[in-house]
Amino acid sequence: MVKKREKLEIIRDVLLAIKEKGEIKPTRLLYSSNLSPQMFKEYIDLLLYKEFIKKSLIKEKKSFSLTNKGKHFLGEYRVIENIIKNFGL
Amino acid sequence: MLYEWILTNKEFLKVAYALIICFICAIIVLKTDRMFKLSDYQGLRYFRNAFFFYGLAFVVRFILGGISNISGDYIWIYYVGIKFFFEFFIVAAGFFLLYSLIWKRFEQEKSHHSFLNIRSGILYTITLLIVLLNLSFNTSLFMYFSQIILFMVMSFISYIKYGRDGVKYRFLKYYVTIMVLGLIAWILNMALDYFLNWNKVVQIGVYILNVLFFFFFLYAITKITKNKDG
Repeated sequence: MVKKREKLEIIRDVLLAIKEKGEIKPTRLLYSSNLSPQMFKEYIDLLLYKEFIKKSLIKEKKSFSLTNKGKHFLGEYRVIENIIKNFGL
Repeated sequence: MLYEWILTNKEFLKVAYALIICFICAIIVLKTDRMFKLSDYQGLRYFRNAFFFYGLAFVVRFILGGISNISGDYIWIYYVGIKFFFEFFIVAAGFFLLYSLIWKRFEQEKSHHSFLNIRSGILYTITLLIVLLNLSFNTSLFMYFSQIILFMVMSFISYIKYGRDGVKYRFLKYYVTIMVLGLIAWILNMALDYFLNWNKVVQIGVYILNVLFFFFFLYAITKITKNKDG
């Protein structure tokens, strides 16, 4: 049975999917993220709110890319995860 | 000779001891606050809050409470105030440290304020009740018992987590040990107050245990934040 992902893991996975492509369209990101459409929308709204990602329009088509904050989060993710796991938080 | 030197300089050493612990707590708060702001992970919030209150408790007890040249008719208000705020901060710190281990059982969604939300409100209310009981009965027993029970529970919970994840996350082993040390420190604190007549040697031992307790957290957090590869 596949272990349910934690919220931070999902954020990391979505950001990694965006980082891999540089710029990614919403539909492709939805497939990469392994989330339901409703959860996907919630997480995208959260990531936009936290300014981890930004939305752009290229030839009238939406796409997402990482911001510096998003890159910083990915850089610090391992540290955050280690603090959480080592202190049982 | 060392013992005599410690006794001669005890007031200075108490302030130095409090400043060291406050400094450690400040570093822990700053580092975990940075991680919390990035991740919004609630366990980090409660962990940070615990050390924020521990730092405040030591400031109140040893620095503000160490001022000895207060005089006047209402000096008792000053000392009651010191007792009230010290016990409030230290009991709240213990509750937040426990809650940082178990918060997932009680909440799903994000709370928007760092220090004020319903769950924190419940913790503050219980803390206030304990402190008011202490003041009403002119005792510290409620504080001691609450912290001893909290540290027993935290020792047990951290042992369960060590059993589950201890191979992969090596600091979990030390976390169990430090929780047990914290429990011993609280039991000794109560013994000092009620049975040992504030025996100086035991008191110094408790101070050393407290320093070890906070140094462990500082060491672990510094080590983890330096090693980005885990």
